[in-house]
Amino acid sequence: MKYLIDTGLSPEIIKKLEAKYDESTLDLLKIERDNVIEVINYFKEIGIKDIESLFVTYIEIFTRDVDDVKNAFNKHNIKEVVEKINDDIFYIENI
Amino acid sequence: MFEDIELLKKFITDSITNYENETEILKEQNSSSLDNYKDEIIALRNNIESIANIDLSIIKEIINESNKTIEEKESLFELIKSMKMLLELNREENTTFKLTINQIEELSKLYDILDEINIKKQEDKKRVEQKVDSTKREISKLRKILNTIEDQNNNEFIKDINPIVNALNKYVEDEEEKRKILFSVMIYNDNCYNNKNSTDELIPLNLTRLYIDDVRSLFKTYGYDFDQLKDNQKEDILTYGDLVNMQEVFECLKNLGFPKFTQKKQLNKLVILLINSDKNTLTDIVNHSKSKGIYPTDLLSVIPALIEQNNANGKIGKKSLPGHPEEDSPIIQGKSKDYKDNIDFLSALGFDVADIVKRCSHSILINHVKLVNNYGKFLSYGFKFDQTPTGELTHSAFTFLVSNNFDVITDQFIESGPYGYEYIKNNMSRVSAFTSPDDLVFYNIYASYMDEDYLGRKVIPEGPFVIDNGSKPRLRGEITRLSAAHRDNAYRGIQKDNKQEVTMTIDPPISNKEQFDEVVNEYSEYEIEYISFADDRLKELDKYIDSSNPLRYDFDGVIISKLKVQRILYILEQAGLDNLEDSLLYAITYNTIINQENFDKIKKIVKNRSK
Repeated sequence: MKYLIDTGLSPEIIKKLEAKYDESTLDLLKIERDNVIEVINYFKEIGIKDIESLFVTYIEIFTRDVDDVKNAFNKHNIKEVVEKINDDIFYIENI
Repeated sequence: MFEDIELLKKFITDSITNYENETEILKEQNSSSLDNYKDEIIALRNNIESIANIDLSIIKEIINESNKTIEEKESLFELIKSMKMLLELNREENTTFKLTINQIEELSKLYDILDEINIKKQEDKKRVEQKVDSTKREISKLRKILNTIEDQNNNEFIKDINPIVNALNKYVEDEEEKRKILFSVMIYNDNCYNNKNSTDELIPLNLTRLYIDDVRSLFKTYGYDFDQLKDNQKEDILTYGDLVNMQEVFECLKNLGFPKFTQKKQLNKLVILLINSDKNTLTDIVNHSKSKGIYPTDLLSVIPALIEQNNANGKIGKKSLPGHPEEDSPIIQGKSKDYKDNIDFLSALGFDVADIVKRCSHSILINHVKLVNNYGKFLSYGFKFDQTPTGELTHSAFTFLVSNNFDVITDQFIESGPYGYEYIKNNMSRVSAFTSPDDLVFYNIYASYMDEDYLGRKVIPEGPFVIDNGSKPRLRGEITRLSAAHRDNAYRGIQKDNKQEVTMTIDPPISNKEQFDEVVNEYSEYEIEYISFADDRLKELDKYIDSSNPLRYDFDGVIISKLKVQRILYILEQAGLDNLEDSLLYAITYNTIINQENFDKIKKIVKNRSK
């Protein structure tokens, strides 16, 4: 999972993920590596600030196909949605 | 644990007996006058004048079974009585009175009543038969569960708990007792799981590097270009792959309806399957999944499910080969069994498992006992599932199933204030979003009630929750902004290193605390026997139960989670530490964010209770 640090997430993230998730979930991060990187890059592109908290809390979003994630966001006013997520990461449940 | 299983067996046995008794009563209640007076009715149908030979009490019983009004019944009975007298006179006194046409017409109303009773009897009979069949099915399912439990050579899980739930809803009113029975099911399954996993043996992984030309040829046969793979992927195939197995896996992927891996980023999944999976597991999982509405495309989001649990690769664990860092190892732990058990369990309970696989794939791969226990804990806190338009159970946040600390985090929210329970009930993802009772969010919530900041300045205590126009409570954004990205504007300046100073809270000074902490911290996250724990000390605390929510104590304004106290006291009892000084005080204040004043209040209540 060191690749996560290469995307700009903090080194603590690996410990946080290991403390929270089973090995099977961590294996999914390995299997879906390319997709995970694409989703992280997409979130950076649209301006989401706290990607790390989002990642640790909603890991299932990052293992989905990036096109599915983009389609979900494109149904909303992205600027408004990003602002709300930056204010409160739990807002993403509304997407 | 033994007592819990005996409790479960007794409940099932008693439920079977109750169902059987019910069946007998149903059959008896379905009798009517048509059954009791068959000969008389046959005679009547053949010749209306045979009414002279039928006892008036029988006539009365037949008439009373009809839907006529009381007046109509009485009028008909009097008429028939007088006609019967006439006919009896003819028989006994040789008179020759004849019934008029009108009288015969009135008398034939009795035939209408007989027809009416017959129709009703047929309908009732059908209803009773359906009810009896349904009851017999429940009995059969309960017997199957009882046989599973009683067979000591058997190590099978109880997968379908619906019959137990149905019997509980029918025969048990007390919620506490219902919980005890449900959790004895969890304990039984937990025991099975432990028995199954205690005999793993390590199988050495046999590796022979493959010839690249053989592998290129194999890939080409199935329409793939081996050279399209990344260098590390090629290396993994040549190092870990088995030519025969890979050919079988390719064949299976083609025949079982998997889509071709056309995009480069999907090739990683193909490599993982070729190295880790096998034809038997693929076939078994695909067939099992199809029966639950889950198709091969969906299974690509749960690749570990397609790998045999405890496979040879898995048994050697993720230990890397010399020179091959574990981080890059293509060896994946198989989860085929946990996946199947989880799917079976959730679909038996009425969930749309295909939806869960799509929305929350990692939850379906977790350890089965953990999933079952988290489900049990979910119910123990009185939470409920929603229903889809097609009647299946669903929930907005299945991630709660993967929580490592479901009860601990739920307790913290319950204790966070009057809306805490409603908040966590409607925002279930938070039990896996927050992992520790020490998370800053709980200190932020606490601080939001304070009307002074830590410098003694007056502030307006706005509380942590926002309730918009009668909708569900949500936490203010500033309360939940916790990451490094928001460190500069942390709520009321609360950080990890100053949280107690800012909130003016304490570590409760409790005798033997270190000893208690050691025991409680070692307690297994999977064990949930505490739910059925009963103790006189808990009964003494009943007067503090919050009338608006029986899962809360209210100790003079301090809200404490009742299930938390139960759990901690149970753990201390298991370790023989429940009768030390401060055992109960420790259980009550465990993890509670509390100031000196409130701690003193609770201490006084506990001390006075024991006088």
